[in-house]
Amino acid sequence: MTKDHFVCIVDDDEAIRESLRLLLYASGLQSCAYESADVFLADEKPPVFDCMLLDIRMPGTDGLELFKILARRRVPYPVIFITGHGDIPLAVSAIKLGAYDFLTKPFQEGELIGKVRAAISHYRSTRQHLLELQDMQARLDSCTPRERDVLRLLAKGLPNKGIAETLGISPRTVEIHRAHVMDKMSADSLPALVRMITTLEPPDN
Amino acid sequence: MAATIPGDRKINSKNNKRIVVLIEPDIPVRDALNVLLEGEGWQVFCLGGCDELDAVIRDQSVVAVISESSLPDCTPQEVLERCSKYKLPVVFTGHDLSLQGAVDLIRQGATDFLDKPFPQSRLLDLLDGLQDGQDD
Repeated sequence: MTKDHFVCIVDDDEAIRESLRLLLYASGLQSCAYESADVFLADEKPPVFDCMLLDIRMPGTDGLELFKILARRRVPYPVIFITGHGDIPLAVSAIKLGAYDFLTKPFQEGELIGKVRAAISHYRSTRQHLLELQDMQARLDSCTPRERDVLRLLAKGLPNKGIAETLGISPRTVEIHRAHVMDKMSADSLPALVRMITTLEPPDN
Repeated sequence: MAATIPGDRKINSKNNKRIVVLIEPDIPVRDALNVLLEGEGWQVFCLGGCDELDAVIRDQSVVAVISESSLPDCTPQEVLERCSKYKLPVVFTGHDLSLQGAVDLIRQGATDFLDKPFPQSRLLDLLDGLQDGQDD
């Protein structure tokens, strides 16, 4: 039983959307399409898909903005940007932000299918890990800003007293925040908690 | 006026670390960037290729290396490799690189790629950001 891979296309140009869908379909890859980032974001029940083809230049929320929103949510699927030839600064930003790949218009059929298939197989091999990350991020997002402050200082190795001094609150309050954080993050020990935060927010050096 | 030879080493104390290496074979471009960077308080080691790169980055506490991507004596990958030994960020510049080429450099570890001609502020902001990162 082979599952048809679902590719999601977000592009404001109807002709491009249609030709992409057709080319994908001819290679046995099912797809869905949205005419803008805003329509995609407004979809309350978006389909499950394995790869997104995203136009970098669009009216309204552009491709890069949508990608930033998705990255913040740590969506697990790979995103391939569709760019024009003159879009080097945009393409460089996209890759730095973690885009999987990009396609330059006008694209060749072989290049399109090759890149989409590569993205899907990459996704299959990393999906479990990425889904865990997404779950962890959702838990972190459920913490209040103050709880996150405490969490980050804990990760730096500060004791309760040091955290209290840094944040200008009492050590007792730190203890309460700390207990809430452990609970919300479902961490059974301090090292586990620190591992989570350093996974989600790696220290710069 | 424009110093293009390393030698002006008056700023070398720990609390004044605004040192940058500029690799640019095109002399007018190199001079222009040198003037721009010095005007912003950077000490610049100007090189025309990557020949003396190792000696400079070994002896100085450099914030970053700015390198043209098309060099006469080495590939951008070699520049990245040499700088990675010192964990130095590398910013490439270029005007004839394909989009694929620019993206590949980022994937190989470059900090950024500036498509020539680029606004001066982009380079200066980038360097300031890199220096702040180093101070932490």
